[in-house]
Amino acid sequence: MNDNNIRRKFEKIIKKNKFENISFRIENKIFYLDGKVSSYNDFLKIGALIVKERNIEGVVNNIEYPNKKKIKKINGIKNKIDKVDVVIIGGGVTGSSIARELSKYKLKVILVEKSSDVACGTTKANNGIIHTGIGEKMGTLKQKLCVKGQQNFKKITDELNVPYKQNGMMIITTKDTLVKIKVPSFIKNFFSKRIIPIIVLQRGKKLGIPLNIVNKKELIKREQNITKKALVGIYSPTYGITSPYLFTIALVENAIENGLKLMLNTEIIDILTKENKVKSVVTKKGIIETKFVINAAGLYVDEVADMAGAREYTIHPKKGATLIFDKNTCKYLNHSISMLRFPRKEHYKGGGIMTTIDGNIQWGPTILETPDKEDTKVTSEDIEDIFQSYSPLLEKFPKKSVITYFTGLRACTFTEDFIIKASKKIKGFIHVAGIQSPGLTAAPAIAEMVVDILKNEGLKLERKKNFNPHNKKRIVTTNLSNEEKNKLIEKNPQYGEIVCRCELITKGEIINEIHSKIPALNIDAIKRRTRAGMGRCQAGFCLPKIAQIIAQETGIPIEKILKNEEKSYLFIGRAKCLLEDKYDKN
Amino acid sequence: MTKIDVAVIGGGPAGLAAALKASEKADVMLLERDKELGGILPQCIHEGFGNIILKKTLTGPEYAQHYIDKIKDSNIDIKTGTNILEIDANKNIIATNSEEGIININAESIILAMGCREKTRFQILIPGTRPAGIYTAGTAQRLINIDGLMPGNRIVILGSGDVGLIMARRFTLEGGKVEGVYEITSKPGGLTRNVVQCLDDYRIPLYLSHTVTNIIGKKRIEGVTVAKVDKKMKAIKETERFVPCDCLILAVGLTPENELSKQVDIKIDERTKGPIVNEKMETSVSGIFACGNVIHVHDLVDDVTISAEKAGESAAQYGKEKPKITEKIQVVAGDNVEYVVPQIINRRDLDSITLYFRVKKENKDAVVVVLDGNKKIVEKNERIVKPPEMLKVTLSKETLIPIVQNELKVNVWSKNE
Amino acid sequence: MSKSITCISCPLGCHISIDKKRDEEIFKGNECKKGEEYAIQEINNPMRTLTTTVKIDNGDVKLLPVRSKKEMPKDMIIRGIIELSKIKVKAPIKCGDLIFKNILETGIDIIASRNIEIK
Repeated sequence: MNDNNIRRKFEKIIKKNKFENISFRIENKIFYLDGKVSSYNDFLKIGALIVKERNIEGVVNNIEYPNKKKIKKINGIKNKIDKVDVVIIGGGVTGSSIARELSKYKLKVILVEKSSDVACGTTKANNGIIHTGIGEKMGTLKQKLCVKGQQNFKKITDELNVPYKQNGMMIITTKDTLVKIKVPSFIKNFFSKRIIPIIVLQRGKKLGIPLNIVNKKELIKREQNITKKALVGIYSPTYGITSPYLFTIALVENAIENGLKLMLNTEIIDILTKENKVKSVVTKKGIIETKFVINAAGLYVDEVADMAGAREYTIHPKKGATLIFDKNTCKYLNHSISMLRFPRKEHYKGGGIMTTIDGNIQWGPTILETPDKEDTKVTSEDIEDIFQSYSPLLEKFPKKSVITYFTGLRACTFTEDFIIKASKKIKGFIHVAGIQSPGLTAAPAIAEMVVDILKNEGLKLERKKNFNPHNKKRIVTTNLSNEEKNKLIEKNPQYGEIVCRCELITKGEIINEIHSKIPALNIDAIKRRTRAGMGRCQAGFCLPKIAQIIAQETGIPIEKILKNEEKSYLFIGRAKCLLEDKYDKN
Repeated sequence: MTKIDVAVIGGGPAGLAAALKASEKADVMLLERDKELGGILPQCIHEGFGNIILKKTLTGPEYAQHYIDKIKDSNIDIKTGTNILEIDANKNIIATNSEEGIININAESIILAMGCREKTRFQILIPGTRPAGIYTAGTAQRLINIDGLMPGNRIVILGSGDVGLIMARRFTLEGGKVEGVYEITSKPGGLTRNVVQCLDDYRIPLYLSHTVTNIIGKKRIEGVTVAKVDKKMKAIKETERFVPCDCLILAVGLTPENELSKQVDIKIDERTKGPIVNEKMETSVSGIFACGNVIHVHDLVDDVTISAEKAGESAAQYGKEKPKITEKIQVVAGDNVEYVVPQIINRRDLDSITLYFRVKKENKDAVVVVLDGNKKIVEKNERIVKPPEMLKVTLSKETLIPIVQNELKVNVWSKNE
Repeated sequence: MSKSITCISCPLGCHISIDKKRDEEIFKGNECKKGEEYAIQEINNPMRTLTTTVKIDNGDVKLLPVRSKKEMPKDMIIRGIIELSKIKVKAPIKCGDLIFKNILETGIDIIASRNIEIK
């Protein structure tokens, strides 16, 4: 369909839906929307309508809606600080994978991240599931890269010494699978029991994903607490779990080992181009001259692309809330469980009741559109949504054993697929946008694809002979035998001092991370690397101790120790500090 | 492998008293995870400790010092900075510290005295963000009184139990401004004495039937929303209002810390969240005893010491006598009673026993009635009964011996019933 | 003129008011005589124990908990706290040691609540 036809078609759609004040243009298969609407929902609706058309590679949705956030302008240093071959923007799992892949080649690469640590954006709230690809829309890039990434996952986590388990997923249909469809129960049950599993199996065959049907009798044997409404199970043995942040940290540590330069607390201000070619990247800390920019900025890919004049997409975040339960709830289930429900929100696999790599149980994630890229609150509606969605999966489960909950934001484009390609407009600008689920699984494959794109764009790629694929294994005392622990403590007594009593994390492990390749200098960075503070008391016991340790090891005054980012100070001062001011009047 | 008669896990008021008593007749090892003894007492710098058993009004540190001095003069093997990794029903203990590494201990008997941990914001499902500046009351108390750090300037406290009230005063005396203490039930959760001396004295407002409905702030807490609650303790949305603050203190409940107990499959009472014990403070696992807050949350440390001395005595005795099989009497919570401890009485070797219990609802002019079937064996008047004030009733040897049924029920009725 | 207080002698927590009528004091709200005694003291000369921490140099812990040896006038507590926030003591300390004599001329001493060894 050529541009004129699309134009006429959409003029009709807009008129039909009574969207006045909307204008659009099509350029190089990118749809540009402008105008004004009275609600964020309308903004989403129009974007979604447009994308239903094939042949559209991206939607730039500049429609104004009420309370739209203005992008803040920040100031930076004007000095040139470096000249490199590639600048990767974004230290989430995507950017970090690309960094590690590029570190195999003789290149000067810088990874810039605006937060105080890697994996602080969308990656931080990821559920760690390594998907098979069965749940993705057929024919999408994200499905293709998911399948490819999944196949590589064991190899890469072995190399990096990152925990990974292939523990499978029990997908179930129940009497409520088609509950929203107005058809007699016996038809719904027949479909859910007989037809849907076959469709799923066929899909699996097409993609090369092993699946087994588990009848109700067998299902109950394997999962004693499964809902009585369960009809049939589809067991997917190749589903896996990992730690999304340990994986990301290991990727970057390994890349650093192989030459990567990491710049944290380095927000991008601008991207300078000359004659439509990338010239340099302007950061808060200075200007980096480069010919290639990888835009892996997650929720902010659209704003970053705008800086270069290369924007082909708009991000509409979708938040997802998760409840984490105490490790002692593990005994209520033997597999991760996910329930099929139709119809379901597009591009949403439904979440489930799943194990984490550390042995907790997680319920979620939910899905909800939000205009705010920084909306990480969990509302009472979110909590209600989680309980309603997942309580029906298991008969017995101690729902009071919640130990924490959080929200993550998915960076969705209107095309709802990955956009990984070289910009046609600005040479050297590589888009890695719209990385929502299955971004973690696809990360290794995304990295390889990006390297291919760079090659095609003229970047000289010469393999390093001395590339070291291995990341040093972290010492985790809870994984050691008592004899091994003893030997360790003999060499370093700090491994005998327990700091986090819930997770049994020692002082030695915490000190290791303070002095690691990506130094962990705040409470949450230590938490992600060691698990200290992730137990049932949620750092009530260990937070003061961890703060003391960071202060001792780094010389940072304890009052300046942060929970995570700037301004997240833990204490307002030392004892009596308020008495000096307040009561001086007396 | 170190062998010991009695191993005491926890060096707070319960562990200290239990270890001292046991050491009169046996060899004792005391294992404490902190670098100093005393448990929660060193940070409870206010007074109110020891009124009953030491006949003095002491501060927490003074009360602790009294027992610590005795322990230091005894032959008890004290291991501080020592965490327990594992225990089993054969009374093997695996512990760790930085001097000795992994320590393997085998004890004739074990006394569990691990105390409590605090309920978190997540356990009560408060919505909102996860900024810095949210602390449970005990953690804030430790920060201020031990670590010398001030958690905040403008404070909102959720929960009017004693810890919350004490911290309202403590913050004020360190120069902080307490915006208010919010309590979800319609009555204060702590002792009247503390409402007067911690809130009234400093004109800190107490908002009953209120709760915190949202936490606002990205990096550091900026405020909370509070709302009135209805009879079902559900927030009434129309009453929601924003309270700016830079620190939220949660005093929303204590849970006996029984993760180690669960390793040995000790039977836990669903209501107390602590081990079911008999009059000798023995748990369902032979030779494993428990005392103090690990069994149920006490109000007065004096009662902790009394239960601990009993456990110490029993544990020391255990190694010397083979446990005898005996008929058991179940002690059950009856009308308006939340729980009773001990839950089991052995018929053999009966001696006077004190039952500790709490009521579910406040009542004036009440009478505590202990029933043996339909027979009233004890009747005791109480001018007022309240959930925050633990009650006791003592059953003398003469009362216990003739008990017919295998179940005693503790009831709290109104006098006119 | 009427003043009222909450009695803390027992869990009843009676709200007691005292009315002064021609040199006679009339008590309302108390269930027992103890309440009257407490009310008189609390209304005329309320007393409290002062407890706080004091900075310490060289100790194996950072702060020394202290207390007033006896109860002192309630309205002097905050000033007492401020005075004590200005001082610093040195380890070693024994429980009961005199930390501050005759605080604010009340005749009441401030003493240490615990032992502290040298670091």
